[in-house]
Amino acid sequence: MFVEFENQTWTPSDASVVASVNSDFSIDNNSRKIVWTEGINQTMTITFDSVLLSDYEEISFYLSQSSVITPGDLYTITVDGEDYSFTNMVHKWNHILIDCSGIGATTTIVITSLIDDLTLFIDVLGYRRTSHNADIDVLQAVKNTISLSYGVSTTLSANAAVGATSISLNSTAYINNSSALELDDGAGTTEIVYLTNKQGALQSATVNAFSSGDTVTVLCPTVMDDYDNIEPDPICGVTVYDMQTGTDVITEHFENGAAKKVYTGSLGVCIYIDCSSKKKVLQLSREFQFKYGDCFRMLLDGEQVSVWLEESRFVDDLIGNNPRIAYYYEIEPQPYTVHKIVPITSLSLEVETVHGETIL
Amino acid sequence: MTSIYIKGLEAVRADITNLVIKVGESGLNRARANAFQKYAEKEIAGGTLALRTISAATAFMRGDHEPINDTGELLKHIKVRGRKRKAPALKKNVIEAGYFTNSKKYPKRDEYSTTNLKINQIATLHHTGYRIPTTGEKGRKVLAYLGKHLKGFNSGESRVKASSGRQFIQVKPRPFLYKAAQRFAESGADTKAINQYVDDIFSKKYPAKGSISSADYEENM
Repeated sequence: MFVEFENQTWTPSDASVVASVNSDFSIDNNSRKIVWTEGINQTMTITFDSVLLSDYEEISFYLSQSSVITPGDLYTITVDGEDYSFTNMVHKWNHILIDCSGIGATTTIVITSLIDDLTLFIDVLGYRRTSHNADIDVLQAVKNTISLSYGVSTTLSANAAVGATSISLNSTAYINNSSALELDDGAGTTEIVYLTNKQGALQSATVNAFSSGDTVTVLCPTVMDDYDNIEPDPICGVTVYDMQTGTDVITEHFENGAAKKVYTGSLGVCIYIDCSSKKKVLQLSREFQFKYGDCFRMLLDGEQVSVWLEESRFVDDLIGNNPRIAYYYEIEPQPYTVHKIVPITSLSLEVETVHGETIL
Repeated sequence: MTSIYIKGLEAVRADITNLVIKVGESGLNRARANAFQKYAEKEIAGGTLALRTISAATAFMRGDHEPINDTGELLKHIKVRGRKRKAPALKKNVIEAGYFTNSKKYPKRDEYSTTNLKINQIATLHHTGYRIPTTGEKGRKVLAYLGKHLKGFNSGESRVKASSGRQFIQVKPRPFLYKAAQRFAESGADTKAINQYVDDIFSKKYPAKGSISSADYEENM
């Protein structure tokens, strides 16, 4: 599991340090850009809700630094009084891990620039540990990553009051009997409803009120078939078809040590696109193949992993079924920690000279 | 300078040359594909791949397979396809293992079987899973069919209704060939097929043209 530090506040020590939210260069469309301008030894302090980090294994985040031509240490990141120094890095996302199993309750991380001018990007800042729910993490990560656009919208032809059990649509073209719809009043209120027939009957009454003319968008929700409503049409379903066994030991390096970890076998995941309309299946599958297809990256427990396509199959309407295309992937959950490797940070030898001999 | 003669060297050289030729002719891949076909049939029928159980209703709709926990007669139609006869588009050394012919239709078993599906279409349905609507025009036809033919019911679509909120009969994917291929590699069966093929070459089961005879081989050794 991975959790981002909650209620983060980014506070500079001086006007020479500025932090801003950035979506241009980001992993999850929400990175922080910190710029030091003649700000040597100035700090950016990140405060968050207190976390007992010893209950977890690692602090994890992605770090990128703009290129500079300066030798030596450029900045430090301080956690629980311990400074971790960083030298020049290539301008790309670098995954940083800090073993936090020995750290108590923490509310701050401090970044100190050791040079005048520096720009850093930080993203997906949080803490993690492995659990026996690692497979559920995989499915949730796939669900969070896949997003498809059905490309059909219409408007309400009549008002829908709070508690309405049906809605009236101006057009029902490509709207199916169990479509998932997003109602949007254009003023910040949205609500997802599920049809039971394309004439507008709803599975559940509306929570909000909507007016005639409000936008209705047909969704292609990405759902896990064991946990979510699996009835919408169209649907992008995520289902497990295999679990393999095996052991593959690796060494994972932290800023303050290393660990032997073991992968315990991959999960076979089938992602399928299913819709009453074959035309829409073809459209959605082209979008899927363009955006995800042979290989895509997703955030799994705070870490970017690559997911490779094994096979794909298209099935037509053969026995009254909906047309469908299925993609098969093999995904490794996060590895378990076997044991930690603690670095020797200092070594002292006592040398005693005895007449005629030297003894260590 | 005195020349050195190594007894049996020419025989070994001929065997290695023969091995290279046979591998290049797709013989090795064909042996592996045949081994996979037998392995897949055995593992699927034996229930060792942990495939999802087919419900009685869905098994009925696809014809009466025996037993319902595996893919029934479909197993007998798993083929091996090579380049020469069936697939000129395949590259020279490529052999397709786990191939379902696309021209043969699954025969009707009894009065309740209605499928006119081809073998490879049935296999595809297994691999992808599917949803059959229970509402709308398609749904009415499906429920009417079940009401008419499902054993134990008298007649009429009123006997079969979809439960509230259930818009589809859902059948989840059962990609039996992909799982069988994975197990085939992991179990060492593929390696065993390769070793067996190489042993057969060196035991003269697949002699090269112009090679020495078995009698000569044994004499030289």
